[in-house]
Amino acid sequence: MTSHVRDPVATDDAKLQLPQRWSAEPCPQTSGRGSLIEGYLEQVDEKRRCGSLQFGGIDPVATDTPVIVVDRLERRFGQTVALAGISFQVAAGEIVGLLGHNGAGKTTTIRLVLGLLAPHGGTVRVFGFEPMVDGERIRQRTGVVGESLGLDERLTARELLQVFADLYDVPRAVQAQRIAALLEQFGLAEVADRRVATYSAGMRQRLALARCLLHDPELLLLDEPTATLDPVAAHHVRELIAERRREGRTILLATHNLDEAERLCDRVVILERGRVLVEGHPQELAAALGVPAQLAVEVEPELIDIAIDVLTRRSLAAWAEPEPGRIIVERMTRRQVPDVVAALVGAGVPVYGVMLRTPSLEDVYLALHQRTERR
Amino acid sequence: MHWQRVRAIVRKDLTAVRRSRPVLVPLVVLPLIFFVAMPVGFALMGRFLSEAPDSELEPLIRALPPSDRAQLERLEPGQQIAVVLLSYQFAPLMLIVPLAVATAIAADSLAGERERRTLEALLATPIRDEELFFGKVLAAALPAIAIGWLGTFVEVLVAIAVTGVGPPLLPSVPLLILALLGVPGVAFLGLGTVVLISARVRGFQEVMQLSGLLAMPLIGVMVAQASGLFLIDWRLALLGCVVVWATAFGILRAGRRLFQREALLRLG
Repeated sequence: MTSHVRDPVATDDAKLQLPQRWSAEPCPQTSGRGSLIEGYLEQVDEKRRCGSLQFGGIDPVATDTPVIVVDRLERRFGQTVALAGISFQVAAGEIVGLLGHNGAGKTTTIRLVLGLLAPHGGTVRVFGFEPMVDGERIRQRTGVVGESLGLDERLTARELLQVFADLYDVPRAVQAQRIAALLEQFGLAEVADRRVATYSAGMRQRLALARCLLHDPELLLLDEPTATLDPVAAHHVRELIAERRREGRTILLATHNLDEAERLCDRVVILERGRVLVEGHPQELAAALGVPAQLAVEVEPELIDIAIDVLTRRSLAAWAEPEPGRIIVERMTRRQVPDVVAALVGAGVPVYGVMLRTPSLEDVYLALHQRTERR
Repeated sequence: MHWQRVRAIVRKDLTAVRRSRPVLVPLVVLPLIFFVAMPVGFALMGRFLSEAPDSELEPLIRALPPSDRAQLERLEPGQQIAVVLLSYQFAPLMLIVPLAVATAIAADSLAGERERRTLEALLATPIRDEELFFGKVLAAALPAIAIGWLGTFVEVLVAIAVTGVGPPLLPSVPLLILALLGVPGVAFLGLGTVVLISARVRGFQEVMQLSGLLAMPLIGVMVAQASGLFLIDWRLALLGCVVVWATAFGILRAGRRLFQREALLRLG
């Protein structure tokens, strides 16, 4: 697997267009703390001092004109730095997750992309336009579901969609038909003439999604679309987002739900205090960052001490789980699994089962977050 | 200017106002008080006070323009009282209604929209700042002007029916000037002030309280007339309307400059 990294000291567009190759193999020089990820992250740190890392995803050189190009974007609110020079791109048809804690800069980024806020440094281009100059043209081709849904509860769903159809310049001749189709598609046809105030959180979210599709936009900006939903409603909304992706729309999804990002996104951009920490495909990111997998081994409970001793002598970090007979071996790769099983069996420890737990985006995110917290 | 967008904002705000009890109640109650109860009350007061002492009525009648005075002196004392009160002394007070309607709708449409966190969704659409501003202004001004004009018409009809006095004393020329020019003037003044206040203040209630101060000059004019300082004639009515229109124009211009996406969003 290969990964890309932008030259962190690149200050001109040409450099940004020519990503350097960067080995994704775990760092051979581990830090004093002896962790693969620690060593790797030290490299990451150096590389991203002024820019960001890009793993896996689309190669900017190979991509047709990206839908969104964010380059060293800065934004402050008084003394607070909301964005400190972030850079990333979103290609046509891609779904990119913007991840980060509350206050990481996700919503600010979306507002800058839409032209609702002016940047204090750097540039944004959407469909090749500058949002503060051609905001109207960008918003014409963009559907938005904001952090707060912005549904006037005193209107009915149909009234609300009619208002927004007018605001998005949907021709009058097709409005009724399109609204009816969207209400049907999002399961709101039965309640279309009820006031929004009577809707559940899931219904409101679906209505907000229907609203953002009224003008058949090419780009969707979704800010925490499932944050307030119960698991069933969130699942439904995720399915609706996945459908939009299959339709070929470009989606920028701001979320702090890592599971959601992992399921839906082609790439993720992880923000931390207004900076891009890393960027890449969730799976590739985990591998590239060297976030280790865990191996769960099920052995004879009475022989668990012997098993741990065998593994420790092979320089493996192993510990017993509360569940009888279960051992967890840290920092495992797929290739090491047969060796571990052979060593245990060779020492007279019967192995009843093994399972390699691959790192999730959550593991990656937590590892990155712990690292930044420690500094 | 995309009129489809402007109309959408007007339609949305008016539908929402129609379904909002805190906004709708004053919009119904105030016109009833000022355009129905007040003329009936003054007309009845005139009947009951038909023996009003000349010392109280005389200064008011003397302050009238000579042509009006001559016609007024031909009426019964009770009718004289009703006409002086309705057509002159309390005429500026009816402007409180369009003022209140405009400020209530504008406060709901601007500060209220921000409070309910529905403004950003509008800002995320292609609508231009000036279209949104114009839509919000029309949504507040149109019902205020309509209620003001319709209310004055009803007030005059009620007053004529109860007092038995007709034109040119009821409605008087100053009353007509205040209705035709003053009603839209104060409506724009009220909503312009709300736009300005909304740029500084977050909540609907705060905006309503602050904009309530706008009624003070109208009450001041009424008190000045009652104390015999002056009685409004067509010149004063016209001058007052010009001042109101000029102020409203200035305030709306300033409000338009403040009405920008980023400023609206920052406060929200």
